[in-house]
Order: sequence, then C-alpha cells, then structure tokens
Amino acid sequence: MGMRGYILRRAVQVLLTLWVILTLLFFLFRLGLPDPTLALVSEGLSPEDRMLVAERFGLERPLWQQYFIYLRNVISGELGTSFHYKAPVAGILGEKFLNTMVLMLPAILVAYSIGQLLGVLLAWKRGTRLEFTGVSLGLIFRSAPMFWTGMLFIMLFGISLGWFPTSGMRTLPYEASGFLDKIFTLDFLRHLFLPVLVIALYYAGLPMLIMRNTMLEVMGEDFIEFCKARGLSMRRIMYRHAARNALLPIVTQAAITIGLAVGGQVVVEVVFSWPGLGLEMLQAVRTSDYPLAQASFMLMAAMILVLNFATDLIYGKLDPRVVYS
Amino acid sequence: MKYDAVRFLWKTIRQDRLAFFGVAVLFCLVAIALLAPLVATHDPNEMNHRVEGTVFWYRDGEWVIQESVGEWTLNAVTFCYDGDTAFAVGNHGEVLKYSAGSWEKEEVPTTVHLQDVAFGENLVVVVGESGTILEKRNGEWIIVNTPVENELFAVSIAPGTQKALVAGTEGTVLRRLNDTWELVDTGATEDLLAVSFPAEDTGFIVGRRNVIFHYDGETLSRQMVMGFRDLYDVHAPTTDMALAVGERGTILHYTGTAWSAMYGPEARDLRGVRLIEEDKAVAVGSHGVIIRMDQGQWMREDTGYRRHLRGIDAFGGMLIASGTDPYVNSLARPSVDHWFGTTHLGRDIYSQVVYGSRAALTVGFLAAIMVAVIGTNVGLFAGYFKGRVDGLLMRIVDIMYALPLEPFAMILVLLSRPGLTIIIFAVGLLTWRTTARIIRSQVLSLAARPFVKAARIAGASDLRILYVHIAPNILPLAFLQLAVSVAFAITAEATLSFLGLGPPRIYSWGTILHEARLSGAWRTAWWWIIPPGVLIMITVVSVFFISRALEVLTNPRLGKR
Amino acid sequence: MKTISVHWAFVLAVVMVFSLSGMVFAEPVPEIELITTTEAYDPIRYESAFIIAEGWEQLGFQVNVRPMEFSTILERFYDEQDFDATILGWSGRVERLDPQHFLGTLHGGQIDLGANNPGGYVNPEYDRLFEAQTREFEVERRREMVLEMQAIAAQDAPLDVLYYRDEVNAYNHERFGNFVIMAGEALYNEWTPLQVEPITEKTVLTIGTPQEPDTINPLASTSVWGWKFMRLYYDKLVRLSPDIEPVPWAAEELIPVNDVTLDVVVRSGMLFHDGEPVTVEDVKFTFDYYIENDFAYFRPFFAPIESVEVLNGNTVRFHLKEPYAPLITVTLSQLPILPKHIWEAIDNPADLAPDQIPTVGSGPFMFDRYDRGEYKRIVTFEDHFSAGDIKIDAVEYRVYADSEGVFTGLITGEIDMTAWRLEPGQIDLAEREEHITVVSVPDFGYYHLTYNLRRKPFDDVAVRQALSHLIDKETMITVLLQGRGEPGTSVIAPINAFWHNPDVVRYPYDPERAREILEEAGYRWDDEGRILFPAG
Repeated sequence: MGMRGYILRRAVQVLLTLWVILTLLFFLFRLGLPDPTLALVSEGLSPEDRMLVAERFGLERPLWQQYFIYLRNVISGELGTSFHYKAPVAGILGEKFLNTMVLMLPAILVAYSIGQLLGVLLAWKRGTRLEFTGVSLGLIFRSAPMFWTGMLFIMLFGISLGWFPTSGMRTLPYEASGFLDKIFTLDFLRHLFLPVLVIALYYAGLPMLIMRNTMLEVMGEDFIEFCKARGLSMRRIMYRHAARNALLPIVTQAAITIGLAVGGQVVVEVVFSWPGLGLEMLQAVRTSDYPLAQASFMLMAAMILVLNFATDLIYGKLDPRVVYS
Repeated sequence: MKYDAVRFLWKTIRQDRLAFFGVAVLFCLVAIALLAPLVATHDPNEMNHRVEGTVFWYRDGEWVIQESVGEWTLNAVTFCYDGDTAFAVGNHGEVLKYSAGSWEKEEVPTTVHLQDVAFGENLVVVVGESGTILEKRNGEWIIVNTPVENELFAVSIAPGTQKALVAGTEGTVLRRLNDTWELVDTGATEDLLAVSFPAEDTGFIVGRRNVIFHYDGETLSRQMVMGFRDLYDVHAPTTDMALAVGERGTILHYTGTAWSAMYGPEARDLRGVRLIEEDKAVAVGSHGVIIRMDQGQWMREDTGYRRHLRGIDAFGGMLIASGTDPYVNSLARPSVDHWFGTTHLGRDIYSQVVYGSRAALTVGFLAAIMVAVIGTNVGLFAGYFKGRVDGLLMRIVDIMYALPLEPFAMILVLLSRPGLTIIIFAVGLLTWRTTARIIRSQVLSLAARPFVKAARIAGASDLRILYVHIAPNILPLAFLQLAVSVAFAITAEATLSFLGLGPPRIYSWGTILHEARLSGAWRTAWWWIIPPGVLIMITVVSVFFISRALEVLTNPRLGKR
Repeated sequence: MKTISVHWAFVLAVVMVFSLSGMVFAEPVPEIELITTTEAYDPIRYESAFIIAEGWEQLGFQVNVRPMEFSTILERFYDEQDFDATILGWSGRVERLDPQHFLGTLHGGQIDLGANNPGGYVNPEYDRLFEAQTREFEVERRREMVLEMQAIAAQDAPLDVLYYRDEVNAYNHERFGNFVIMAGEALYNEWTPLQVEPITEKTVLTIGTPQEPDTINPLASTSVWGWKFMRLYYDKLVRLSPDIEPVPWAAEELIPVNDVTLDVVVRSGMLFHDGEPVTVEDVKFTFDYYIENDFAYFRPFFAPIESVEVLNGNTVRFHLKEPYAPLITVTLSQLPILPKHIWEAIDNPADLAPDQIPTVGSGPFMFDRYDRGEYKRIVTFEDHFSAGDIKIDAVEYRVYADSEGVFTGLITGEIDMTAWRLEPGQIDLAEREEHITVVSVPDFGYYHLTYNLRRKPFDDVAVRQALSHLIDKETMITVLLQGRGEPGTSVIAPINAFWHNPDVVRYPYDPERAREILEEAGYRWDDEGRILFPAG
C-alpha cells in the first residue's frame, strides 16, 4: 500500500473517531439533561416556542431517531442556536476557532523548535553547569501551572513594567477586511507575545529533555565517530547529523502534546482574556449555554484529530523506515 | 523472576539524591495534609477581624495615623484646653488622656463600654453603657448616680459652664444642672445618638430615623425635617449654625432657621462631623472616609487608610479622629499573625494553603491510582491477547487521545456540579491512555519471552499468566506511570479549580488563585499569588524527581551514562 | 385514699406518656437547601449565603449551601419552584422605579409556575391593595397603599431583602465632563451621551464593558445590555429624565382623555436614519407589531393596551383595557419606535439572522458598527431634534472579557468611562488614580433571600421572622461590599424615597430574639441542639 492509501485509511479512522466522540457527547448530554428545552425557559421562552424548539430537535421522537437527527444536524453544520447569544453556534465559534489556532500553533512551534535546539545544546555541554541549569529550568517550567506563570508574567511584564498588553488579541478599534488582515499587525504580535511565551515555556521542557536523552544515545553510535573521523566540526555534527536522528521521538511526543495543549489552552485564554474557543466554552459552561458548550467541545476534539493526522504525515516524511501499511 | 519490588524501588530512590528529596517533600506534604487542623493557624474560611484603638491626627496640612493605642474601639475623642491635651474613650472602660505627646491610661471606676466624652469648665464627662456617667472633677474620676439604665451615646457641655446634655437609647435625654443630673422628657422612642450644646440656651440632639431635637435651656422641641435616615453626629459651633451627618452619607445643614439636606460626595455612613467655620467642615465615617467642606463644597479626601472612623474633634487648624470599629484585616501583608498575609476578605492565606494540600494530594493520588489501574489492565490485555482485543482497545485509546481534559471536565461540571469527584473522574477516565500504550508495548515484548511460553506449556490459564507471570515484570513501569500521573493529576486539579470548577468552600491551591483573580486584588497582592503556585511547583517537581529515578530503573540504558 | 393515689398515678402516667411522646416523636426541622450563585458569577451573593448559613446554624437549623449556575437557579426558582430558600436579585431598571413591578413579585396572582412570585406568598389584604393601587391615578392615595403593602410584607417576611448594592462606576475627568448620574443606572444611562462635554480634542466617548447585548434585535433582546445600547439609536415617545420624571420626547404632548384613554401628539419633522419621516403610522405600527408578535419580554408593558388608533396626522390614541397607572412611565418610555417601512415586510422578526437585523431608528445617534465580542459604535445623528445639544461625535464601546479588562482599560486611558460596576477590590485602586473619578450610586434594585412558603418550615411566619433575625447583614455590607450598599428592609429601596416605607418592621441581627420567637411558637431543640417542630 502506498502513501495515498495510508492517508485515506487514516482519514477514515479520524472520521470514525469523530463519530464515536459525537455519539458519546449525545448520550452524555441526554443523560445529564433529559429535556434541553427546560434550559430555554428561563430565557423567556413561551410554551409554544418551546414546542417549536422541541420539534426542531425532534425531542418528542424516540431516542434513536433523535440521535440520527442530531448526527444529520452536525454533518450539515447546524450546531444549534446559542441560548445566550440567540444566534447560530457555528457563526459564533468560527472565528473563535481561528483565534485559538493562531495562539496555539505558534506557541507549540516555538516550544518545539527552541526545546530541540536547547536539548542538543544540553547534550553537547554534558556535565557542565549549563546542563544542570537547563535541566532544572526545564523541570521548573514544566511543573509550574500555566495559569500561574501567566499571572506572574502579567504582573511583571504587563502591569509593573508595562511592556506588553495584558489581555485580548488586539487594540480596538481596528479596521480589517479579513482574518489575515487582523493578525498580521505589530499590535497583534505584541498581544500574542506573553501568552505564547507562557505556553512555550511550559511545553519546551519536554522536547528539550527528550532531545537531550536521545542525543546522548545517538552520540554513542558509530556514525558519529565516523563523522568525527572525517573531521567535521562538532557544531555541524551535533545539529546536522545527530539531531536529525533524534527527531522521531520528538514528533511522536508532539502529537500527544497537541492533544494536551488544546485542553490546556483554555486556562491561558482565560488568564489573558484571549477570545478563543476555551474562553468561550468557559463562558458557555458558566451561563449553562448547552449548545455552545457542546459545539466548542466538538471543535476542540476535531482540532486534535486533524493536528494529530498532520503529525502522522510529518512522521512518515521524516522516517524513511515507516512503511505506509 | 519475582522480586521484592518495593524494596528495590526504595533502594533506587535512596541512591538518587533528587528522588530522595522528592520523597521527603511528598512525605512532608502528606503529613501537612493529614495534620492540617494542627498545622494551620486559622480557620481558612474565617474573616479575621482586628480591633485597634487608632488615632488619626491632622497637623500641618496632612493626615498622620498614630500607632494603635490598644486593642479596643475608641468611640470618641475630644481636645481640651488647647491642642496639646485630649481625651479619648472606648470600650471596656477605657479612658485615655493625651498630653506631652503620648497617651496615658486613666484609672476609672468602671469597665463598661464608654461612648462619648466632653470637656468643660473644670469638668470632664464620660458616658456609656447602662446609664453610666463618669465625671472628672479636681483630678478625680467619680461615678454619678443616674436615674436611667439605658445606654448613653453622647454628651456635650456648654462652653464655659458646667451644664451638660446627654442623649441615649429610647429617647433618653439627661441634663446636668447645678451638679445634679435629671431626666428631660422627649416623648421620643427612637435612640438618640448625638448631642451638641453650643450655649446654655441652645442645644441640638439627633438620633435614628432623622430625629432632631432643639433644646432652649428648658425644654426640648422636635423638629420636622424631611427624610428618614439615622443621624449619627451633630455639631454646632455657635447657636445659629449646625451640621448633622448620618447613614448613607446624609448631611443636614442648619442655618439658624431650618434644616436642609446638603449634597455630599459619599454614599457610605458618616459617623462624626465638626463644623469649623460657616463654610468649612470635616466629616469622617466608616472605611476611612474623610470628607471636607470648603466654601460650601464637599470634597472627598483620601488618606489611603480604610479603618472605620467614629469620633472627630477640631482645634485651631488641627483635627483628631478616632477609631476604630472592628475591621476586617483584608489584604494584609505577611506578618507574625498571618504568615502569608490575608485575602481581600481577611482570610488567612497560610491556612488556606495548608488545607489546600488536602485537595491536591487526594485528587493526585486517587486519580493516579485510577489511571494506573485502568491503564495497566488495558495495556496487559491489549499486549497479551493481541489481535482483535488489541485493535479494539487501541482504538479506544486513540479516541481518548482526542478528548481534551479541561474541556471534558467542564462538560461534566456543566451536566452535574462542581466537586472534587468530578475532577478525579475526569482525570481518571481520560488520562489512562498513555499508561495503556506504554504498558502494552512492554507486554508485547514480554509475551514473547521464554518464561511465558514455558508457563503456557505448563497449562497455566491466560489470566494466571497475565497477572502472575507478566504483571510483576511491568510493575516498575506501572509505578513510573503512577508517578507521572500523580504529577499530571495535581496540575489538572489546580487548573480545574482555577477555572472555578472546584467544590465550594474547600480550598485547593487552584481555588486560592481563582479567588485571587476574581477579587481583582491579585495585581498587587503578590503574597496571595506566590505561595500556592510555588507549592504546586514543588509538589510536581518532587514527583518528577521520583519518576526520573524510576525511569532509570525501567530503562537501564539511561543509568549507564 | 388509695383510690385517689391510683387516680393520680394514672394522670401522671398519661402526662408522662404525652410529654415523652412529644420528646420522642417531635419531628426535626428538615435540612434547608440554600441556593446561591457560583463564586465566579457573583462572589458577594456566594459569600452571603455562607454568612446566612452560619447564622441559621446557631439555632440548630441544618443548612446546605448550594452554589449553582445562574440559569439553573432561575430554572429551579421560577420554572420548577423547586427550592427551599434562594438568593437572587432584581436589577434596578429605570421603569422599575414605579413600584408596580417590585410589589407584583409578592402578589398572590403571580404564584404560578414561571411567574414572578415563586415563593408562593399570598395575603388577601396585600393583593386587594395591589389591585387597588394599580388603578389609582391620585398619586398620594396610591402612595399610601404602596406604603401599607410594604408594611404588610415586612411583617409577614415572605422574603428577606438582604441588601441594596451601590452601583459604582468611574470616568476619566481629564477627557470628559458633565456626566449625568442617575439612580440605579449610575453613569451608563441614556442621558450621559447626550450631555457629556469633551475637555480635550477627543470627541468620541469610549465606554468599556464586559457585557454584551444578547442581540440587537428589538424583537428578541431580553437583556438590559441589548436595550441600553439600542435605546440610543431608537427613539421613544417618552424618556425618563435624570430625576426619573417622564418627559415627552418623540411625543410632543400627552393628553389624558380619561382613565382608559390617552392621546399622544407625535413631534413633527422627525426622520429615521435612512431619511424617511417618522409618522403616526410608525407609532401605531410599532405597538401593533409588538402585540401581534407577542414579544414576551415586553408583554407586561403592552398587555393593558386594548388598541392604538390614528386620530389624525400627528396624534395617536391609546385605548386601555382598564386603568393602568404606569402607562406613561413604563410602557411609553420603554418601547422603541420602529420604522414601519422596514419591519412590515418581516414576518418572523425573532428568527432574524444576526446580519439581517435592521438597525434603522430615529434616535439621537445612528448605528454604525457592531463586532460581536469586541466593538460597537454609534455616531451622532445630525438631523435629530436634540443634535444641537450633543457635544460629541460618536460613542464607541469596547468589550472586555471581564471586569479586570475594563479596569485596566480605565487606568491606562483606553476608555473614558465604565458601563459596569467596579468590583470592591478595584474601587480602592481606582480612587487613588489622578485622572479617575469614582461615582457611587445607590441602587433601587435589591438582592433577596426568598423562602418557599409551600414547604415546611417556611410556612410558619415565626420561623421566617426568626431566620431573618439570624442574618448578619452588617458583615455583608461592611466586609463584602466594603460599605458600598445598605442592609435591606423593603422591596422598595430607600433611594426610591417617594415610594419607600422607612417604618416597616425590621429584623436586626439578634440570635436571642430569634430564639425567643421560636420558643414562643413552640419549637424546641433536641440534645444535639437540632431544632424540632412543635409537638402535635
């Protein structure tokens, strides 16, 4: 089986997983909330309106039929109407989804690139004070919860020193024609800096340590000696040859990190008031906005699946030994 | 292949100094959590009050707070003779005299709460609870017999005379004529709270529900004034002008003919007032409120102090104000009383942090055990049975990887309610995925080993092979995963509590930070932010150290370097 | 002699059995579930619940404090009436200065599921007065009835009014002056944009808030934040002045014909923002449209209207079903005038997609833009009759994620005023800033603890009075609110001085008095100090 077949198979797998998650959510919500229209009543819905809603969601039909109606709605992008905003959920979450991505992807990218480079450096400077400091700092940042470092950074860099804005994505008002316009501004980058730093510091420790450990193993192998014998500079050996071989475990770890980061993101968004999916979901939970909370969760799960899918492909590209089967 | 796993573990840990440190820290934390009521200095939910007899001086154009003169409320203060002498009275029979720059306690024959003090011609009068009146004549304090048992709130002496007026609960008014005290009929039932007696033939008495009486030297007449607020103080420097202040920033102005309401800048209670000149006045109140009238305009003055002020007196350009009612010791910096300071509601942060270790450890260990048990078993079954069982279990693991933890916990909270159980379940049900994967790969290689084949040939059942032959070999790995899970669960608990998903009134380190953020005080109150975060960090680092040692154990290759 | 002693022994035995059975069978008062908001939603109400619980536990009541999500509370309180005691609040909206609404929350006609009196308090005398005052146009006579109703309610204690919380806002006095301060609404009222004066070059007033309109659809919005925004670009026949007096606005004159008929002369020469003239037809259309669509949020306002009739080119006549005192102060001051030429083509206005909602009004400001979650702007409408008095060019709103963000915006000068109350911890910091003026305004809304009178022990007035005596309101005010508020006494707040009854019976914190009341009513305590119902 070739590359194409592999991709196809993985894609089907992703869809299946998504389906299972949707099913899980459906029953979870029906279990915890037997009559979703009840939650609507407090919003001033008359009994007649309630009937209408009930009809739209097919609430008077048997459970299995409701389930299929639910699946149909999700597939057609009809995620329901937010109780709070009284507007379709899909429209509200679309931009929040993008906001989350523009925070998370750079953060993980930074974490992994810096983490790896440092990892190589630590392996190289083995046994020195630098290595000790590096490993300790890595451990400390991995142990300090992100919301706490976030608060400390806001206190220090935002409030005391006034170097960076403390909340939100951009200074208002702004004039922009599209999403890209909104994010490629200096102002946006200034807002992005602190949250990215917090996330990156937290996640950089792991790739750094993995890189260091793998490097140490790789360096014991023959081909390094061979390179040395050829008279290549140490820097070149470390970064060109050894590091390349140590990349695989890091990519594996990155896939797992993405899953964790999507969840962990929530707390960073809260601390920095970043208008992303996580903040929106917390608000939804606080206002008992069931459709919004459910859809936010779905989107996050989908995000993880798609990103993992992407890492799988990268993994394949990196490791020639992987046969697509 | 059986060996004493625990002993082996212990040996490994003892060899690794960092791991030993980690174990020591964890033991300390467990001890703190178990003995929390003993280790804590306060009830973590208690709003800690303080009572301090505080005196505020206004001299040379600025307010200065004087060190506490004792642990009781000072209800009233008055200058006498000149700006160098003053009297202050307070609860528990406290009478203090200020002279030559310091406060001296006066010996008085009572211990009841004293409410007011007035100074006159060779006479100081103090009034208080249970109809108590003290007089100081010729340097001697004596208790005066009074015809009432009511609590007396206020006294005033007409300047240059020995005539005094006293007001108290349920419309009580007493006057001093020729060394004797007699009751004056008011017909009122409201409590009367303040009195001002600028001249022998003019007096003002105010009280609850906007009651105002005028005294003409003989009788009292009730004034008809619009409003219904309690009036706490009145001051009349001369017979034709007076100010009264009260509840919710009420200010009433008397100009010789009638009382009228004045616009004030303050909506909180005003407890004391002094009218200095016709268009100059100062009033004080709760929460350190000080307002000043200049040219008929009231302005707020901020001293930065937030203690409750009760009495005030003026002399020349000087002012003296006294307090304080019991006040909540909020946002106090670390001190001997409160090692880590207090929250905005005066709660002891050190005690909260101590109790917080309970939530962290409970969730950490219970969730981690859940993770280890589920993960290990899934890994065992998947790795041993392979094929369909493996396929199915690993698909489930894949699905688990797609569920983000914090949002999942939020959904659970949305569908039930906040609590530690939800957090334990969320972590326990979701994060066994990694453990399962790792154990599975180990089991895969173990299952191919000769001793497993031998057992099978000997006719051992699958379950027996799994749990008797294979399981002991993966124990170190399972322990490692347990340790990692503990760190993960503690962080997860803190995170979820920080989002406000923890149980009410049970402190965890995350909850403390959640409250700090909610209160808005975190941007300045560093002592509120740092301790819980540092503890989370230390705990997690300790667990990391332990797991590093275990890692060496499970992967001997790492140990060789 | 012997028979007598036997007789006595018998009597004694009976007495003993009775008293014993009293001891043994006396039923303990069941645990009270006290519902309150989560800490994140409102820390003050959350902490208050624990203060109340502590007070009650002193006398052997078992209390279980249950913080819940806000909408769950509303559901349990209003729609299911499934609660023992619940802490909720009524916000002080201007139209609620008329006592009608707050008194209605204790009216026996509103005890059904979903209605405003979930506690189930019924007192025929109170109900009689309520109905009488609704029809009373003579204001002094109405006042007497309103005062008496408050006295009755306080005596029966079907709820405890916990506190009135001051609305604390702040503005930047280096940028703008002449702010209008209004009871209940503080700075963020409809007059502030009409009257503020710029001090610097900046002629756009920037308002910061964490609150968002639920929608800007005038036939769907059920939140204060929607209406506080819309009322600036829609006009109303009557606006309530800063002193809460009705002033004719889009109406030129209001002519009462009789108890059930009111003529309204519409101001001439007004334009909608799209250039179309505002006519009597638009006014009639608006009311008909609201009635026809039966918009639930406004239902109490238009329910008394029988019909609206166009009399001539500039006058409409309102026919009422029965005399309705708050018609001018409430109904005419709340309903916006909608352009007929736009809305008549819309059949299901409540279902409009967000980008299809018309934003054409005739108010002093014109809708300009709205980016959900971030930004809103309205600009001065030069053709409005009040435009000559408006000294700013536009009002913009910045939406922050929480009050923390608003506060930072205020300090850094990003915004000129707040539209949301400062938290107690922030007030102090704001007061210390040179460029900030803090405004604290008493509210006429109130926070209340409502008992479910259908359940034991709350059916007993003695218990309710005793429970009220055990509530330490002083701590709530001085500690939780830091003095920015006052202990509650009546559903009509003191700031509403004309209608407030200051002489209602009060329940100061007094555990001894509470115990006496309970003892008098026959309640006793078991060995563990748990309170028991009266025997028999």
